[in-house]
Amino acid sequence: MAEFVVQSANNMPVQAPLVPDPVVPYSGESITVYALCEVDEATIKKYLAPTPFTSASNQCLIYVNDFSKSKRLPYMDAGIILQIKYRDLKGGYYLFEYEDNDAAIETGRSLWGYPKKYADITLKREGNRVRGLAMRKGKPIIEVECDLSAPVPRFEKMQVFPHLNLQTSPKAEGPGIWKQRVIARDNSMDCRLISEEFGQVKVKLSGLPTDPLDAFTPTRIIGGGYTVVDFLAGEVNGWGKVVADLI
Amino acid sequence: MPENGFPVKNANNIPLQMPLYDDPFVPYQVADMPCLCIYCRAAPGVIEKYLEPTPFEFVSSDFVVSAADMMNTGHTTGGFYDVALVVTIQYKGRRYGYYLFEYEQDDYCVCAGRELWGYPKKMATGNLVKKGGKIIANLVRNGVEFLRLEMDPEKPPQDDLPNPVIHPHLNIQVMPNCDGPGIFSKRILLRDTSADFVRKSKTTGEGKITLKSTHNNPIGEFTPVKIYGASYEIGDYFATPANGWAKVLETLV
Repeated sequence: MAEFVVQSANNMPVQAPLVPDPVVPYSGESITVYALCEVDEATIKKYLAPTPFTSASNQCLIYVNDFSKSKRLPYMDAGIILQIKYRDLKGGYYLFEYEDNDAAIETGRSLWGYPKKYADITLKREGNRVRGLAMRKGKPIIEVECDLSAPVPRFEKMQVFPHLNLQTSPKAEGPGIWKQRVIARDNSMDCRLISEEFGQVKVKLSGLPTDPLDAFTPTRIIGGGYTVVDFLAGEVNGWGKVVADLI
Repeated sequence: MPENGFPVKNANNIPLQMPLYDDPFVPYQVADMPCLCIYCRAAPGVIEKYLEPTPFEFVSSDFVVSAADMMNTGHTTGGFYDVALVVTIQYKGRRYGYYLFEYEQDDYCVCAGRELWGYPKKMATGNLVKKGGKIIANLVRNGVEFLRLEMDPEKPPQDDLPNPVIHPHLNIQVMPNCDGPGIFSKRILLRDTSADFVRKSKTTGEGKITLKSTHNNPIGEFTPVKIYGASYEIGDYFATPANGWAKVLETLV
């Protein structure tokens, strides 16, 4: 193996950083199965209470995503996104997010405040059936199954861009928060839809003591689908923007 | 489970409502923590090269690789298996331990170490076990075993074991900008839990080490030119409210 060229990076270890520096641009085929759902409004309110955000709808997007073909930053991803308002902005707030690669988890958390945790995630299509599954600590937490041969009434998609994250970093020297910022990110204009199919979808959310996803078990499923997107986090739109420095 | 379901938190790390790691993270303790150390010397120039991007001064080519089983911390998220490659450095006239590489098996301990105190952790799985009369530790990342430590307590160390300065730990915590290339924050953090550690036993023996570089993980460059030997220690580890937190020694950026 050739001698390693030591870096002086913007994350640790500085010599051989966990996150590529700079991480942008990165790109790849992004495959997603999703369910657009309604959930209990009181539950949404309860989970938004510690944030400066207010609810913009009683809908949420539950998804499983395959970005494993990306050369620079491959990962599998799954999560639940709420639609929220902050000041004059309306966007998507990742309430739960899981990935299977430590570099991608750290990219999300340390750069942009995506609240990522680790999970083992699969997304498989067999004929017209698609199944996405996220497993954390050996237990299924998110299951999304879509039957693309079963028609669904047309539905209006939820606006998830810009992503609005509440990045929160702890103090080193004692309890409490060191820094807290609202960070917006929107690369949607650089992502090209390759294909989109709709179908009837089933969702199963299971809770763990540290991950109470079952609280978001849908009261109604509006619709679901399967998309293939040419994803780009580019130099212009791939970075985040600080909307507010709260702490 | 309370009547109204999961008690939503307002934590110091994300997701706020159900944080990745406990808030507060300190105190925690590990009773009867086993720790295997292999004492080594790197090839000339290697440690100097890895200190080049830091403000720290080179002290010697000696380094230690430790593997500690801290699975029983009492955290709600569980404990950790920690393996680290540590060198002694000098900074402004004082000697410290600097973690060059560190690995743990789970997301919460990796992120807690990075976000709280700047430990340069990556994820890797492994075990510290006694097998066939030997004490063995290993690490696997992305399906490849890239580190293996072994102590034979029936044989003496190859040489006198050095006494490297490991505490206080001095970390360079670096956080990236969100809105473009570059650094958002860079601080030197000092952490020293050693005053609260209670050693119960320590044995020494012959040491072996295998280090293999993998993608963006150049630990194989520390394949030693000399192995002094190994130690195996059992002790009670405490991260107490008094000494378990870090101190911000300097803010560079």
